[in-house]
Amino acid sequence: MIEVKKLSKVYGKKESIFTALDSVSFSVPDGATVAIIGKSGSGKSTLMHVMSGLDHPTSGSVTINGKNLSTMKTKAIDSFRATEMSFIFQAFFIEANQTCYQNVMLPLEIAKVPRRKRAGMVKDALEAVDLSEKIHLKAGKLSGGQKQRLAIARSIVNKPKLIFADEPTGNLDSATGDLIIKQLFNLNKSLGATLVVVTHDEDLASKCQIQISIKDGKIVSNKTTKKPASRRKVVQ
Amino acid sequence: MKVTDIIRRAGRSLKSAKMRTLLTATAIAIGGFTLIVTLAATNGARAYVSKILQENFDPAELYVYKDKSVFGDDSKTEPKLYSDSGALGTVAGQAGTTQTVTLLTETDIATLRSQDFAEKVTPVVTVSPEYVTRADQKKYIAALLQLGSKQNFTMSAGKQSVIANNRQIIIPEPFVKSLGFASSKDAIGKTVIVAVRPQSQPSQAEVQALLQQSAASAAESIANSQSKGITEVAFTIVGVKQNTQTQQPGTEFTLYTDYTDIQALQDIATKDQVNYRSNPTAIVRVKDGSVEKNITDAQAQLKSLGYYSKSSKDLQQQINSFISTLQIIIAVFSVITVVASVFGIVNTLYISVLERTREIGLMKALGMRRRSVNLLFIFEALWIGFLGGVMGVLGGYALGTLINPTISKKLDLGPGFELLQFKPSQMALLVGALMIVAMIAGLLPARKASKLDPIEALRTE
Repeated sequence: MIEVKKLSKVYGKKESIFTALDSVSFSVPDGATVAIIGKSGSGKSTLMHVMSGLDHPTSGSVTINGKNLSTMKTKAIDSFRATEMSFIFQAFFIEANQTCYQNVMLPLEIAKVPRRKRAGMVKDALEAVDLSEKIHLKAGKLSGGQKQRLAIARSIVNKPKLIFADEPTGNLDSATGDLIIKQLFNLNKSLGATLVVVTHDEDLASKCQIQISIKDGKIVSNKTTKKPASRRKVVQ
Repeated sequence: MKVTDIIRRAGRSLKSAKMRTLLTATAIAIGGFTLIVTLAATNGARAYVSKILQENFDPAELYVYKDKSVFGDDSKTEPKLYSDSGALGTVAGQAGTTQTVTLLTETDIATLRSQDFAEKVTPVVTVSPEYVTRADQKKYIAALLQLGSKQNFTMSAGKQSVIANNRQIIIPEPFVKSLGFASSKDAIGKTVIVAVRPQSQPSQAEVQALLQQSAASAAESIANSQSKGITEVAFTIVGVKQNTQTQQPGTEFTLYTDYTDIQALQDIATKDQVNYRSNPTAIVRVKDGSVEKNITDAQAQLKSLGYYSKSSKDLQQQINSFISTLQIIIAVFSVITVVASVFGIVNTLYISVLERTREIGLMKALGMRRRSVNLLFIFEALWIGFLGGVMGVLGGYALGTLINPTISKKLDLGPGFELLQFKPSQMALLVGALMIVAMIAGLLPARKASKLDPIEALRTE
């Protein structure tokens, strides 16, 4: 369960003041798929950063599974992110000169997963995105779609409870993007994780259960199209 | 993140930028190379000094003297007070000058002989021969020394031993040709004449008495040219020594005979003079002198008696302090190289941080702590330091192994002696020191990386 309460983020001072988030409140049940929709500069990226603890809000709070991020220390937030969250980015952010195996291994190293467990977890994650054959290939040699699948493998390898995807199809053609989305949603379903997709793509947003539209830092609409109730059990 | 994972990750990112890593490491390798070669050369120089001392001086023996000036240890700012307590003599000073020094008299020798620690006291009897010659040959300037117990000559003919009071002599190789012998072997058993100029003129009978010779043999062996104020004494050549690099410096034209024979010559030269039987130094053989404590105890005892002394260890330290000064000078230049390479490392890592902004941002977004990011770059610096250190040290070692035989041959250092001597402990220590230097260089870039804002970093594209 994610609870966002009266979240505000203000940049700058006096004349150059800029309100990126203006008293945003909403909640997301466990295992739901959420789309945060808005044009560039609407504040959707800032919302994702604050929700993941990468950025501090000016006021308001974010509570994830009962833990209030704004009262936690940096170290605690770091280990919280390492064990319970993961990210998928528009530009993939994979290390081109490292192998697929090494790329997927990164979150496990950061989360201090015992070494003997790692290989199996990496293999499982790569299998889930159909990249088993490329395990020892340099990530730079993959195609765009494969790179994003690798990023997905990296995001699910440590079995997080919450996945943030920032414009996951932004750098892909529509056919590949559709495939990626299908895979991402399926994995999310089997993992039982909560998926937060930040996008300006209405088409992608419509596939999510909850759609939150943002404009000038304010929520303009919050629709729940499909009830995610059936998935709650899996998470618990 | 576990430290072992950080180390491996640091190694991996260096591997992915091989060329840059190698070039940066080369900078530190040059410093390491100069330092290890400097160390090796001074190791060799020290070993060489100790080798020379070992071949010429007995560690159980002490050089005892009454006047600091003998070993040049006197004050350089205050003139020395005159005292008429003992005989005065001259010793060679620096750069061709001579110095007047107080000599050890027979009374001093008797005092030294009465000490408990003294096993044997031998005055270093010096006599300056007027010339050395042979019938129908030119006259040459030469020096005459007593054959020491520890001296280890390389003989080209004959043997390295002389019988006391028997006028036996060992000549250095250059005199073989000069004195008209066909070969070293040819010289053995032949006669060579050593001439001294007595300060007062002893009669022939007195000379004979001093040489402890019978009248019959005296007529034959002594060619007394007293009209010229010179006494000539005949010696029999028993050995010819080669000149080697490890012999006592400045003894290329020195002839060696027994202490008693030199004493006789000196007696002829100084009869009825104030400096009769007086010498600048005496050699005191210490009882159980192989035990270092006995030597230092004896030295303390001598000091309380008003004598100065030098052990072979003192001499070694004196020369080594000179080597150390040279070593420091070269080391300072090598350290400058290392300092220069520090900026190379700072630069490389700084660029690396800028290039990997995204990667650092991602790692931080995935929950990597600042401390871990910091460590990651510090380990990269340590890897560079390790690589550079190993490259430099092994490079120096390889060069040393390659050119050592040539150096030994060119400088005639004697068989099996190497000038560049590498010690594994020094090599390991140097690599460690260079790693620390590299780590210090990595602190600033590592701090920059750890302070990167992940949001800003991930926006880069």
